[in-house]
Amino acid sequence: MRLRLTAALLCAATLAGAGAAPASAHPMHTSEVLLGVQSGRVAGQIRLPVDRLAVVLHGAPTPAAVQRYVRARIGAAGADGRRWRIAVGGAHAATVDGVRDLVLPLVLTPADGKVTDFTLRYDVIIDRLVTHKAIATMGGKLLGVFDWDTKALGVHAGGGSWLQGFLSAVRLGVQHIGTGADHLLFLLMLLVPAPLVARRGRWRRSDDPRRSALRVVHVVSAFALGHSLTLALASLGVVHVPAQLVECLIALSILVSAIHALRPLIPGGEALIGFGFGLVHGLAFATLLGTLGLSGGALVSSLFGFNLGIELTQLLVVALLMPSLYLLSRTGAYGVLRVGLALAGVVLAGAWLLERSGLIGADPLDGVTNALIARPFVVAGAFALAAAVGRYGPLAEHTAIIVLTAFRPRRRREYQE
Amino acid sequence: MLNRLLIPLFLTAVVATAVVVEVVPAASSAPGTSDAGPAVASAAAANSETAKATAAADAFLKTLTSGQRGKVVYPFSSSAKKTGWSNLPTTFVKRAGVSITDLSSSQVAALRKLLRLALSAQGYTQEEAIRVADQYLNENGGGASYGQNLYYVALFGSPSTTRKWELAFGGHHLAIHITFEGAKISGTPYFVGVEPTSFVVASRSYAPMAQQSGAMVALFDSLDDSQRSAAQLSQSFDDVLLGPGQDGKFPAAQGQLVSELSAGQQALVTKAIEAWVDNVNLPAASRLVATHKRQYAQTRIAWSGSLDPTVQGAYFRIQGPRVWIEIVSQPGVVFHNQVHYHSIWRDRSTDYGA
Repeated sequence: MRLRLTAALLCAATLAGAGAAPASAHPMHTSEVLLGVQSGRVAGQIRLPVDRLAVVLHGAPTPAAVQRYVRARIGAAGADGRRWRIAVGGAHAATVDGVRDLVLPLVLTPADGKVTDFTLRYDVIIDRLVTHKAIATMGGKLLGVFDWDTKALGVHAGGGSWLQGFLSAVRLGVQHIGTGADHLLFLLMLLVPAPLVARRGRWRRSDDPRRSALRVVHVVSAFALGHSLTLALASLGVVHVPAQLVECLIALSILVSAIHALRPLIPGGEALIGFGFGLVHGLAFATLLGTLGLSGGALVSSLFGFNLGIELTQLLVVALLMPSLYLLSRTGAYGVLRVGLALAGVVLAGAWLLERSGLIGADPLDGVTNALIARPFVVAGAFALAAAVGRYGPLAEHTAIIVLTAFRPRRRREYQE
Repeated sequence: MLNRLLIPLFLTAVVATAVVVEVVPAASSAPGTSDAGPAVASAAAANSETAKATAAADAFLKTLTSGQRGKVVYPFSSSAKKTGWSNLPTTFVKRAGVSITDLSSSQVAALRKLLRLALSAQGYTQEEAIRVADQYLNENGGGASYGQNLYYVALFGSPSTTRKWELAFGGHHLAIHITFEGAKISGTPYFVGVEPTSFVVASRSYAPMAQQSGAMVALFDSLDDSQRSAAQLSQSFDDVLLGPGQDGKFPAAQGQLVSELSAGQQALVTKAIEAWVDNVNLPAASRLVATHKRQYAQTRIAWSGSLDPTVQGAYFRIQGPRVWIEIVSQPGVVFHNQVHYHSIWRDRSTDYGA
């Protein structure tokens, strides 16, 4: 997940003002400076690729030596020109997507405890390895890129209120679901059988729209409950699960729910599936939130905002798709559609599972999912169009017959005359 | 009643949103311009090289559909000229123009004619070999991000024998920019890299950058101890310094002054410069090399890391008032156990024909 974020940010940075599309996994051995505004200070972390650090510090430096080296190459000064206090914490190792990083906590404190706009000076690794780059973000938003030519960046941090932090967390949540193919596909797989009931191991049409609607509410709430729980626990550091395992479990969750859409695995168990895998998806959300380097009150409000963003987007997805799915379930074609969607889900989830478990190098279907995710309204529109055809198609046919029979007798009369 | 009104309204709204979202940006972001059509060749050809390239470019444009022309031709001032190229795979950074994948065989033939005219035999052979290398990466673990047809062509400005226009061609490890303005021809920025540095395809051996790397090694091997230490940089490199997005950021010249070298050593400097500059068509290239030779009193050579190009971090540079050439041995991306080369040739005065 980090690599994808890094790639997106790097592309945005190197091509500010140009069209850039991040896609494949090309190793990016860049450093990252991830900051967030907290009350009275700016805090976050620095991530340094171990192999690039070794070029600069020669061989295998001790954590203490790395800490000293980093501390000496970072500085900050407020809008009033006064220097801020810099604290660099002890380094710990982390491996994400095959790149080994050293992670060091960073805290910048203004002398008077008032966070204003400030200038951040940064010369870590790039002081010697002049072709290295460090991506800097504030609250998940790109600040800029430090390189041999750019060793100071102006940071807009003044006037950062609780509300701004909260809203940016909401936006992050919206983006995360809106652009997260895996979360969207999981949701779709849960919604597909929602207008149906399981009877004797098969899906049957339900003739009770209220019951269908209620079931959707149950599924969405159960999923929300599940991911809220683990998101909170993981963000507060209570649980920790390796990122690769989480990514694999998410692919598995889609696979299971797709199979469930084919043949009911647990009759009436959508809510249970939703809750169980909600727990897994929550762990993935936490990884993203973790990169913002928040703590304390800022973390709690961000956690709430991020969750709210996720819920709002999910409800939007449900609102856009569910009426179409319900109408389609009234038609004879729904069986074919359901099986087709479920099989597509099985294939996509299977490809993800293979890629994320390292069994295949690259997801061959990446292009397909990226193209669909880029056009959410087209996907929703296609469902609506199908529903319209399913519902009004027979009506149109009917109208045509009426019109034709209305013309026929007249023609016959003309013939008789 | 409510159902009868709400359901069609909902369905219509969703379908309409889909149509609007899909159609509006597509219509407004088309890169086509009013001066995108092929230019009428000026009767008075100012320069035979430019005239030939202009005719070949017009012939190429004629093979394209109007939709393709709109995607290939940009206004000369378009920012895509500087942002639409990279050393990275094309799946990672979007390139300006149209890829070979989207061209028919007759369109590709016309493009090849244009490239043969704009490049020298040395340059054209290397360009083809870099694409073979990318196909080799595709088939040996690199996957779909690589491939011989993921290379893009774009024209900035309409081909003309008098007015400024540029041919841009490139993809992963290749970015060629040749700008024509009457008798003036510029061949920079010119990025070329390769992974792996040597390989065999269909029982043919390839080492597309052996000449360039070899010319640098010959030059730096000729230095005596004091020259070598004067030329050594204190900084380390894991890529070229002035790659994509680094236009015009030339640092102060560092290293050993070329005019202080022996005549034999200076000849090696010239050979190394020619290894890059001679990639563009030869009359234009020899004029550029002659210009660079006249500036040896202000031209410096520098190295870092190692003088052995098979070692990670080996880095060589030639920097004059105009010429900038750097080549680096960096870690392999698909073949982790060996280095791969990145290099760039720039001209401080005439990048993009400036």
